[in-house]
Amino acid sequence: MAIAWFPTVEAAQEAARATGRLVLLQFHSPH
Amino acid sequence: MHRETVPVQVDVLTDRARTKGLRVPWTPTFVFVDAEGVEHHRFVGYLPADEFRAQVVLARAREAFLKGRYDEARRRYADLVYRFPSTDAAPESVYWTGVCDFKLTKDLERLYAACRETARRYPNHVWGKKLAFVP
Repeated sequence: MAIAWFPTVEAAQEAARATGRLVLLQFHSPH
Repeated sequence: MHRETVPVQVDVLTDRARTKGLRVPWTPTFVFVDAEGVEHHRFVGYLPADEFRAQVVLARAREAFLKGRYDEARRRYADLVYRFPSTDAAPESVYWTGVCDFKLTKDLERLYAACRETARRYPNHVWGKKLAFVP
């Protein structure tokens, strides 16, 4: 499953508000 | 997944405020929040595809339940059980389907029936064990 990550949390929240979806935050560490 | 959620990655090393604010102690942690930032569900660790998809449905069902949309919550819990019956999220979804029935009808027998079904279908799962006492 290829995931299209939103660039920022704020953009994701805006998209969620506009479409009635939830924001899925994946907390990760790059190291 | 994209039909139900808007996915975004949070780097715990650079976004410490959000990481601390949502009390995320380890990675990977997946947190489902609504547009207002209210958390509805989370889990820690990567999951196989079906388990992951089931968790997404569970998050949507919980959100609907917590916001009092019991018809929608029931539909989502039942959908989870139908599509992902062997996942770890299925047993509690059988139970919550019954809770939604009770909320919608005030008929306790509907809730008890869901309890019995959970215990019968999933006797070795923690939710089946929780509900095994229901006669």
